[in-house]
Amino acid sequence: MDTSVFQRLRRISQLGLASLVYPGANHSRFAHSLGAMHVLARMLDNLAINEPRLKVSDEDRQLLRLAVLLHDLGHFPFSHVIERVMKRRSGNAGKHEVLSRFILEDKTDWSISQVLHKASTRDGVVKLLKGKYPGPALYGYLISSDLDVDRLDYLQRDSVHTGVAYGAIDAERILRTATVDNPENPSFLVAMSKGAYAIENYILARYHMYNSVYYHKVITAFELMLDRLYELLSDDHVGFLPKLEAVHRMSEEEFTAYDDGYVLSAFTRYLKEGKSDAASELIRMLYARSPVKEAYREFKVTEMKDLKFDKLREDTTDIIRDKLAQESEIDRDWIFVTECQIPIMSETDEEAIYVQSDGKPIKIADDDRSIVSKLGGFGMRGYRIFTKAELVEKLGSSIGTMRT
Amino acid sequence: MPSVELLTYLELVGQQLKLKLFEDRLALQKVTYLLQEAGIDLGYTFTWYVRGPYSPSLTRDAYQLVNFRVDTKQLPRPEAADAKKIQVISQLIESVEGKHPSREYWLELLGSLHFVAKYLAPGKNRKENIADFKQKKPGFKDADIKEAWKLLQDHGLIRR
Repeated sequence: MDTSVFQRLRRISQLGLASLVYPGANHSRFAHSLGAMHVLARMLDNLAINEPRLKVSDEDRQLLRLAVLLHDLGHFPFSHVIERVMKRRSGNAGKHEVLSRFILEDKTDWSISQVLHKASTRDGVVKLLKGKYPGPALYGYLISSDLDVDRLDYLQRDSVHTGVAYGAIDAERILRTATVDNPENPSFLVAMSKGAYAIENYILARYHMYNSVYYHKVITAFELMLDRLYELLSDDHVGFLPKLEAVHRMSEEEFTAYDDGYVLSAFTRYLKEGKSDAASELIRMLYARSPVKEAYREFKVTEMKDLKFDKLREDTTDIIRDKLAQESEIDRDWIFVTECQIPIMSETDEEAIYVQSDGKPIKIADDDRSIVSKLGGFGMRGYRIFTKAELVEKLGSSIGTMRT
Repeated sequence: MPSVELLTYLELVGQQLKLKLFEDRLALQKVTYLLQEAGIDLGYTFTWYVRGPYSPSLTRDAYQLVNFRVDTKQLPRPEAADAKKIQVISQLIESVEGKHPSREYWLELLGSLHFVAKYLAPGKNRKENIADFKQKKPGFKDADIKEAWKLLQDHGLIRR
């Protein structure tokens, strides 16, 4: 934790620009990483009590703790906002998880890699993060599923820091009533019957947090502005706003400095150049807390796997933006299109939440005793289109034309 | 927005992007896994889960892509080097079409057996790999496991 690359996470905001709407939401990836590791340790402790036949070796426990502690190591400044830019350009190679693994595996001269190597844990941690560790399926489930330790931490943390009360969960109850499907060959967590209501609350709380915070209209507006700025201003040099390839070339010291403040400094430097372009105007708007305005929105609670939207929405967001720019004659730099999908629960066997029923695990989506079983397969899907305040009417008119 | 490139590769191996049924979702996962193991870099990380190799981000991408109107014929075709790899997987999938009990059973078996052999027990021999596999996935018949191993070998995905 003392390595500079890990300490960098203190300067990466967990929720991007959410603090522009929820002033208390200035918690960091550092705190979340520690929290997730703590949740994992508590989970393993409770599993050992609830299912004594489950055997997790001390080595595996330590590797799991380290993997969870380091799972966000490669997060870009402002977390998922800049990551979206990287993914658009570089596909899955732009994911923060890939960068986390890259740091640990390829940057062997960096202090964090050396510390792990010295403790003979680096290979095991990398394998866990790559999903290739020779352990039970339970390990993958603990790291990524509908009931993973990441989610159990960030829902609590984000709810407290934003003050969004309906995001609160009873994590303690969930941990205390967790067991596994098969102690000899564990594949997933199973909530005991007495924990079922805590699980229902957790599922709904997550849904509410997505609506209230993660896809909040104004937060989304600011994040789209930041996204656009990074897209417009980034280049192949390490020194200004780096593209992914430049990030890969960074030294340990350069990467340590690549945090939220680094991006804001770059914006300030750009402003001093005195240009009168979209980027300069966006920076001024961001600094003045003046978001772009919503020109259109469409949201539906519907089945996640088969949705027919209007004619406009069948295209990808980039194509929608280009078509709108043509139709409305508005500069495409001032058109922001975003979509969202908030599933209530996962439908796959691998990620689903399981509860006990007559001594056997069943998916909560299939549990007739649970209200959330009526919500399985459903979620919120929608899209929003933003632009500058003075262009909303013009853009809105073009949207109306194109939707029919 | 995930890359639509995935749709091209799925189409070329005869796998439609459908998510309505459990079997559709399982097939999508295992076919994508096998494509990557043949050398097509789609960038998904697969981890061992209850039904074998699985990628959460592939599921999320699929739910986004399934409702877009994408004309795959307009997308760039894979390069020549990838074409051969695609053919390998296409032939592998073809060999289990219509097999009893189901195509999805065989895809799960092929993907899971491969993952165990390559990642969960890499230094072990065939007999040990199969023993490990049976311990992790007891629902598959011995004869089918042996046949699946041979199919993977014949298509160059396992080399021992």
